Amino acid sequence: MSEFKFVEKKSNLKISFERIAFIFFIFFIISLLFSAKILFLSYNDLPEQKIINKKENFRSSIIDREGDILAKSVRITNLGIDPKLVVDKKKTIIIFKIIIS
Amino acid sequence: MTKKKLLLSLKLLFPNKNFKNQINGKKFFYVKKKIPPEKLESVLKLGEKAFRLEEKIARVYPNGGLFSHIIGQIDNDNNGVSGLEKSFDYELRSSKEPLKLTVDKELQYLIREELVKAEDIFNNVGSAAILMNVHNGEILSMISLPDFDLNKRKNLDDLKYINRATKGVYELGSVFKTFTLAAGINYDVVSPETEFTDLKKKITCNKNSIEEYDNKIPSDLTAEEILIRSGNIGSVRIAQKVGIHNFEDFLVKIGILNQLTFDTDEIGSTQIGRWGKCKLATVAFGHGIATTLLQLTKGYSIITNGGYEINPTLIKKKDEHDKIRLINQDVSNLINPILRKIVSTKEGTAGFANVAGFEVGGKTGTADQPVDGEYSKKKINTFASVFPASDPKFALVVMLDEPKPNKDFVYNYRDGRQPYKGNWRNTAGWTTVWVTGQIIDKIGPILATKY
Repeated sequence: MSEFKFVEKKSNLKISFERIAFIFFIFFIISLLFSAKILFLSYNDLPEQKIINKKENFRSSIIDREGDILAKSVRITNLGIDPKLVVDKKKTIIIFKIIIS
Repeated sequence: MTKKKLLLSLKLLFPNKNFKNQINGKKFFYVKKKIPPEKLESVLKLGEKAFRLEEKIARVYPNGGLFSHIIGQIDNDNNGVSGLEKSFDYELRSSKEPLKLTVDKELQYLIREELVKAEDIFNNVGSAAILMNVHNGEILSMISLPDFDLNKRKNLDDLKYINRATKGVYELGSVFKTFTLAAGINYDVVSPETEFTDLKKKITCNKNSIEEYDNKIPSDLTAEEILIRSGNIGSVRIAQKVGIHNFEDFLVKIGILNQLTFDTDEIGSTQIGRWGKCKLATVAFGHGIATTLLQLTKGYSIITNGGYEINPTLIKKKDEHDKIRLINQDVSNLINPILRKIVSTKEGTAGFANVAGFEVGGKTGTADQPVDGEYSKKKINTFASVFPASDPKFALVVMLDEPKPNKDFVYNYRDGRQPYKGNWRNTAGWTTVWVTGQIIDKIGPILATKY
């Protein structure tokens, strides 16, 4: 009989592999959801994504006999607000102040 | 932050707007239209998902209301609804080339400025002016007050916003006497030297009386003197020599009686009723006939340009048409010096327009406005001028709608006399002629150097 003998020490804590796998799976799902949310918010927060393009409707300019412009079509941007999406109202007010200052 | 606080803050930020219902509602609403690019960039950097940006094509008018009655308005869908925006809607949508007009921004500004000053002096409810090249009909300036800022789109149902230069139809009074004498010369029934004797101060026609405005007018006058002194009875006598058929024919030729074709849809039609001996008599001195200022300007242009056809236009054309003569050359040769005398002699009624160096000629017209079928004390004071009278290039017609005498106004005479304070007669000579003189003072040097 060899003096080197493997002695298996058994702990009192008994955790099955299935249980560990389940917990890992839950953590994985949660982290996946958070990542998806972060990605969603990072895109969603950019107002550029909310640009509504109206039908192009250019009219040519009207000029006087000297070539001075009397009427001209230009591209403009209107700023509106969707009340359903107002979350941080304090922040919204600060932006209002910036717009009209 | 509570919703109450938010609303309070919005109220402070936008005192003219009420966001209460909008912020509590669920519908999208505008915070600021036409947001400047630099401000937009700041907004984008801050990021706020509740904001919505709407890009669209907008029409801007750098001169505000200066050309409002000419250019007109568009609707929310960029369709022209009045003025050139409407009548040239297809061209403006389909062409990439700009629409070039005949008007001159500098002249337009200066003339408008004088009309605005006139409102302060004479408290008139409106006014209009047309400056036209008598040889080709190109309109260098056309103004009707009140006007409106084209950048602030508004409903213009109120009659006060009517285009008084093209759409408003008025009895213009004695400015028609020039046509009466011109018709007489054209049909060779009178000359400026033709003498009329025993002119009454009052005549009747079908129980309606026709009187002289000034009872001091002599009873014996030549045709020329009748026009210079603006005699009513003398003009009736000239018209009687011309006859109904010839007079009507003449008014058609110079564009007074036929419907004018113009570049905008806002155009009025002459109202005259049935011709008869009394109609002939009243039309001779500009009553019983209502027309537009534009047609009056056209008529004066044809009479003074050698008798050639012109069609008033706002659109700069590349090619010129051959000249068509409508009336005898003699008419211009004989009428133009008389128009000059109306401005340059003491017997004339338009001394305030005798601007040195510009040889102004013209005829005044003071007419009572009809209200509910009766003539009222409300006036339409008009001055139709041409210059230089020896070879006219420009016609300038100015009209004041309901001017009132101003006792505090000081008139500076152009012949060196002591200034006069107070308007003792509400006539064109004391109102519109003054304004015309001021206008020519400003635009004369520009016209002399630029055109």
